[in-house]
Amino acid sequence: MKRIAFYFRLYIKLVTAYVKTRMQYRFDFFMSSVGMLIYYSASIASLWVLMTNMPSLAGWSFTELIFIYSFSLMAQIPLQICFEHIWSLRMHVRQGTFIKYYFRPIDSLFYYLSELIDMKGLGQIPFSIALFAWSSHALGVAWTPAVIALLILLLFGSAAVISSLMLIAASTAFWVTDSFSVISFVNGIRDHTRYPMDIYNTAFKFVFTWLIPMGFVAFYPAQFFLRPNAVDWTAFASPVIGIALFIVARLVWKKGMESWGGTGS
Amino acid sequence: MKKTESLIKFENVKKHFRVLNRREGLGGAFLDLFSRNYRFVNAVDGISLDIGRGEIVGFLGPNGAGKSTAIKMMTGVLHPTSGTVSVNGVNPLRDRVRFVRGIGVVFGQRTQLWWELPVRESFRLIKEIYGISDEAYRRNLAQFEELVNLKELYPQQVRSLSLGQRMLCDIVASFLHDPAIIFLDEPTIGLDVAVKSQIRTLLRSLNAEKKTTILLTTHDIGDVEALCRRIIMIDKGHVIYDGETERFNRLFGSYRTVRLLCREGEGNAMAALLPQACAAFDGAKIDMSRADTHWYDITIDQDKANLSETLAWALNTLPVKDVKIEEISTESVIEKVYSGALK
Amino acid sequence: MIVSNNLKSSLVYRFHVGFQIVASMVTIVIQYFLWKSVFHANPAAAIRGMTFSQTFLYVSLATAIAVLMRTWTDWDICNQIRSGDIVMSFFKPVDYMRYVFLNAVGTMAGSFVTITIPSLVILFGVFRANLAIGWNIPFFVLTLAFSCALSFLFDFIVGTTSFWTMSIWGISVAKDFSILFFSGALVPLNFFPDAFAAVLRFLPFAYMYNLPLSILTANEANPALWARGLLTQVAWLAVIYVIARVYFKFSLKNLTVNGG
Repeated sequence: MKRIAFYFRLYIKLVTAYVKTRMQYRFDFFMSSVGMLIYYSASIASLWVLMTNMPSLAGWSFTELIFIYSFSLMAQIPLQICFEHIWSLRMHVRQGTFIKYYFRPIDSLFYYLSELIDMKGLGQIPFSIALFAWSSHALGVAWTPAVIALLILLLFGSAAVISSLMLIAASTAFWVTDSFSVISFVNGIRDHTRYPMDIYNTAFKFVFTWLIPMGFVAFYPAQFFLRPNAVDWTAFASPVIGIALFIVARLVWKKGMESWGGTGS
Repeated sequence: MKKTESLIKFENVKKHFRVLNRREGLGGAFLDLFSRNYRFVNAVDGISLDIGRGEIVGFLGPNGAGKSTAIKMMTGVLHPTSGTVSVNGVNPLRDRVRFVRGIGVVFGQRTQLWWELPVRESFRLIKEIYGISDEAYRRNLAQFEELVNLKELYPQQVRSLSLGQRMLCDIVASFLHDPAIIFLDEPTIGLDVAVKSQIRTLLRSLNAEKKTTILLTTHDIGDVEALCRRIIMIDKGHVIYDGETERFNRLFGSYRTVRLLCREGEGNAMAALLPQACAAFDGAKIDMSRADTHWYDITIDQDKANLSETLAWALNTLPVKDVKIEEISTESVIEKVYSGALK
Repeated sequence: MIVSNNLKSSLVYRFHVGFQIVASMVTIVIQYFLWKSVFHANPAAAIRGMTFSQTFLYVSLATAIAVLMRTWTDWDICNQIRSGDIVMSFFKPVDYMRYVFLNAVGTMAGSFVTITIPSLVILFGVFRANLAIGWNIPFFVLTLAFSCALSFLFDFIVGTTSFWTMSIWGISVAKDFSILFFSGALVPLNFFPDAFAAVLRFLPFAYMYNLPLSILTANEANPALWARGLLTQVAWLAVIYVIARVYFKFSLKNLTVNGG
């Protein structure tokens, strides 16, 4: 417990110091945030255009699909903002600069991640919450304190799932020269989490549920809110799966550090 | 001399790597896609050493000799293929977070401070991370400020410091948490003489004050002569010398270098005649690398060739204007050892 | 030589190759199921003039083309400007735009061999996509080549912006997704509301994806229409080329005048 409090306080200090140094890059922050918003808007606009031709997609209305999409965006907020440094891992490993992360008496993954906060991801917070609020209101979802608590728990689980997957993909840098394709691949998965799992046949539903756990990031948890009467255990599984994946991710990171040890630098 | 407690101990440590063989050319690159072949590299092939508290040890060796691999095993970055490693009384790999509290690491080329923050902020973060008490922190900073002009560096961003200033801050930062051992990797590389001197004084003082063991990897003879009472030399994964620096220099104590200043305008004659020394005197080595300053060297081993005879020959045969006789330099000793003279 | 170097580096990393193919496959699979459910009521019927097979083929090929055209040229230019290496390129006897273009072609060639061909094999082999063979093929190849050139030019323009600001990430992403959306790559232009589509067909973006793809997936040959489309594409290519050139020259002059 004391250790968690220590890390929490340390993280606040590290992040505050970092953010202060980014204050001078206002133009970059603005342009990058605009870029992000255009990217999301293109996705939403495509869906909207498509839906002008039909009332529903695989049984889901436009608003319901936006609900799922915004859920997935919210789940990816921690990944976007706090895990951004994983994209540089392959560079630090290749150039040998990663070695400094062996030498501080704090968790190496924590230390590595704390070095970079993605400022442009901050825009994702109001954007996704607004989108979520709009769609849930349009759908008439009833927000009681218990439901909100469950939402937070499910979001936490979904965040853990997608963050862990990206972390594992990035960690391949410890072994493989070109891990960029691996992390790009998993990054592509992030976009696909907004589609309803109903569109897939049995085989691929299995693949995208259990092999590449896309479904647990947004679709399955969203079922609780969209189809409360037809919900099964998969709606509540994301926290458990998220924690399991995170444990795996930490193990992979640890093994990666043991394996690399500054070689190839 | 009583043996002090063992702070760094290697017992017949070995480290082998598997390295990929890349094939040549476009066709080879295509083949590489389907089948890989490897070879084994013995980076460290049976090293044993024992370093005690308060020692300043110079770690020397040609590049690729296994020095950095050995250091990585000492600092818990690599695990040995075989043998035991014990640093601060523990196996560095057992509990990395706890182990790392007792050591400090400084790299010549890269900083461990936060690039975009002022120096003072970096120090405060270190204080936070290591859980250094307020009084220890203040005490240490006061001590560092006495040795180095730190105060004027505090408000500056690390990225705006000169290389020398940054090194001083990195070194000071590594002592903040009072580790028992500090590992320095080429700390004076690329620095001017004034800063090098500052760094050496800093390290000597802190070592004397705090009895911190210092392990220094360097190619700079000045570092070795200023700081290290003991040298460990590594080549091809083995220890080829482990002992006092003074004794090291005296290893080749019978060697003398005769330095000859060439008369003006007679450089060509000198260059033509000088090589005859090798035929005339057994084992004589000549060095014309500083010919543009008009100085030429003949190095002989007095066990094999007579110094007065060599001198007489040189003064008679060569266009000499002035002469100096020197003991062999540490640099030449190291060069000799690298080229296998110790075998 | 530039082309073969990039080709060689593409071949060396087998993980890179493998994963990129898998990534494309996953996208194609998901597109397949997505569009299958769009057409679920009546797979053979057409929605706004396109059947399921046409749409699926169109969208999958759009993905394949997008990967092919991703040469990171804008970032290459940005890095060269940032590091100052760009100055070295000016001393070479090759015109800078041509030099960057050849690099891009090399990357595309590598991409084509390592990713596009396997993707096409899977698309036509596994998914049994249908393609009418006829005049559409040569027209497609030609319009695709010009699309790649257009894509290069847009990348070049974004890269040139690095002379003004180092933070081109936002601009690059905005460019990528605006092109994908407005060109009918994400959703075919046929599906857009009529007024919207009419405007889009007027813009250059439509000529990067919608033109080559609608030619390739057409059921009947229409050379007259296609030739008109090709000419408009070439016209846009010329316009954008001029813009790119002028912008580059202007940015360069601004840089050398103001120092840096």
